[in-house]
Amino acid sequence: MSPQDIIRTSIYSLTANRLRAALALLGIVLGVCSVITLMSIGRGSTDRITELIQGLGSNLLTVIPSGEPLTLADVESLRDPLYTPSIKAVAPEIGTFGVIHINNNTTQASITGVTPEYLNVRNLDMATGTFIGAPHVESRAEIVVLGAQVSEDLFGNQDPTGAEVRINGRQFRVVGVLAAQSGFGSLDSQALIPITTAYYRLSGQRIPGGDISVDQISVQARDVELVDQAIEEIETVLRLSHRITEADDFTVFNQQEILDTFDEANQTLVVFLGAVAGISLLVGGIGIMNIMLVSVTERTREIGIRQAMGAKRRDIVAQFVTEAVFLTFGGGIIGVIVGISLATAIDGRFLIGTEWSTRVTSDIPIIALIVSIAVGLFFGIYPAVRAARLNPIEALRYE
Amino acid sequence: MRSTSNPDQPVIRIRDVTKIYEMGAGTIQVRALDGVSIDIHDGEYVAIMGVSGSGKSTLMNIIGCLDVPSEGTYHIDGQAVEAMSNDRLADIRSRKVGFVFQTHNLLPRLTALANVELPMMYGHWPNRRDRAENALTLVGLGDRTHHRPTELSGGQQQRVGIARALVKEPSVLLADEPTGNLDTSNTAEILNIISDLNHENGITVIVVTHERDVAARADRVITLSDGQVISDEIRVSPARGGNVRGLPRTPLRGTKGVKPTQPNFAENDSPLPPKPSPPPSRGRLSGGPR
Repeated sequence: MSPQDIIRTSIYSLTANRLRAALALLGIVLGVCSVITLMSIGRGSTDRITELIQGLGSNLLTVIPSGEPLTLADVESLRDPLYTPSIKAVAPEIGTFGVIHINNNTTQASITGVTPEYLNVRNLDMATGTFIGAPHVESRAEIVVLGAQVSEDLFGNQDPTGAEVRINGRQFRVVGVLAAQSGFGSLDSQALIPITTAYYRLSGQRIPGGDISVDQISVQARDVELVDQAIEEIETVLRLSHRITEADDFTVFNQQEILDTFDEANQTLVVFLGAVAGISLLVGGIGIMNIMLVSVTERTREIGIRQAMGAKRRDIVAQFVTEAVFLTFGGGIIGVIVGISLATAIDGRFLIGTEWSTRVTSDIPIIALIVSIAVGLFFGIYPAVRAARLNPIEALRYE
Repeated sequence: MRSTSNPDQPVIRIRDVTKIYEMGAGTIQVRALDGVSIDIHDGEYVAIMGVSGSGKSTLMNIIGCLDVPSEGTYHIDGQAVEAMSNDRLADIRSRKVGFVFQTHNLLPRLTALANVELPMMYGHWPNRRDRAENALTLVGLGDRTHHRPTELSGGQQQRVGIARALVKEPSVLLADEPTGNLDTSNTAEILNIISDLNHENGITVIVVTHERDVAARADRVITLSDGQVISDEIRVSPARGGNVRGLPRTPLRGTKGVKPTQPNFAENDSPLPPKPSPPPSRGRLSGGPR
């Protein structure tokens, strides 16, 4: 039999019972559709985590105290390029909480005391105005840079630069607004002020010796490859300056490590979702096999006629396997179309309390189609071989 | 054009064929055929008779290469069938045997034309459509090529079945109770077509039947009983001038250079296009192992 004959014969057989063919097809459609949708969701969330890593700066390290406070003196030691050649910038911060208000508008915000380095270390962009400068830190200036959400809450769409706001009763001048961010660790609902202002004007705590204590220090390594070296340098410097002989009184967090953990958890989820979707494809395949077995029994006499007309075993096998592959491939194509539409439709939408992000890459439909053909081959072979093994004499006698 | 170089070599050569069916996990053996030997030559019109259970269906299955003998030898066109694989048997069926069934066994959703094309599909024949149209014309259905079996009468369906059997120019046309499901007038029509194919086109015909009227059309009647040949009589019909075998007749194939003298149900000059070049396997076994 030529390939055209096989295809024509298979189409002839499939059109004999359209409803049954359509129902068998539906199983594959659902399977392929769920594989595509779930894999796109997986890709989308992986993308978002990658975005976050890049947003936070992949060479970012965080030092927090765990015992003795960290101080601006520690920050200065860390900035010494002689001891810390792998460190590009060091940005200390003091976190506090405050109520900001202007006229009748009031909003609550995290107030963070920072230095000028903070802008680059945390990869921030300004929407309007300027960031906190060194003179501001020097003079304990009462100026503030607002997060996007805070600015919108207080000023709506107006540019607040130059406006006066009150933070915990003290008057601050707005010098700039941060560009809106998204996702994890967003600064949208924060307000940034000079670290000295935060320490002397808003924070109540004092440490002996007149130094300024800080809540955490963000350290930017010169390069992603130098992150491990930077960690060692931080540990060496702080152990020396704190005269530590036993346990460290500080902890260094590697931002990359944290996000790697997130990413790993996400990958596990994607694999799990893919497996669930794969099972539904498997169930679809079993449905195909079931239909093909019924079809072989029903068409016993037809098979006998074909055998009497000179059909070889491989002709019969080819006919039935082609039918099964037609079903799964057709189902695969419809499933790809529906799945891509679905994945595109839910992208960026809030559903069931979550913001979905999906990304359809070209490999997903190709894989899905190859798998659907493979399912047809796998589940079509057995019924086809059964058909080909029929005894022509008995098959011709079959009623 | 037959693969036999010797014109006296029979188309069908059955020697001491026994067919044993094992039933009940081998405990009971049924001898459906018991030492049958028959030669059938090119151009013969043979009826195989017998009551049900006489073994005539088993014999027909073996002649049609649907089954192989348990013992003995069977040659069709000089090729030994008894040791063939399933695929070789299928190949022989596709080229040498034209089946006509009691229930016409057409595929219901294919047109008459597509049904006639079916055996050529498995034999990789060229010009299938033209051949199928010619074959349908030969059985008088040239104007019904695009009808489906359900749109045809019982006699017409059986004629499609005959066209399907003869389209590949088989060595033998094997008809199993071809009129079993037909009324008297359709029976006569079908038997006339079969007789004409034999007389006019020289096709070897074997009809398996239990009806004396049907068998009466044949030149030779073989009667089976309990798996054995109990009579084999050659009848000389007056119309055939007493010559049973090797009689001058109009060949089916145009390659013999003689046109049908009286195409009583065919309007085309050349009923069937020339046979394609024989498959390579054919030459290897030609002449027979004996």
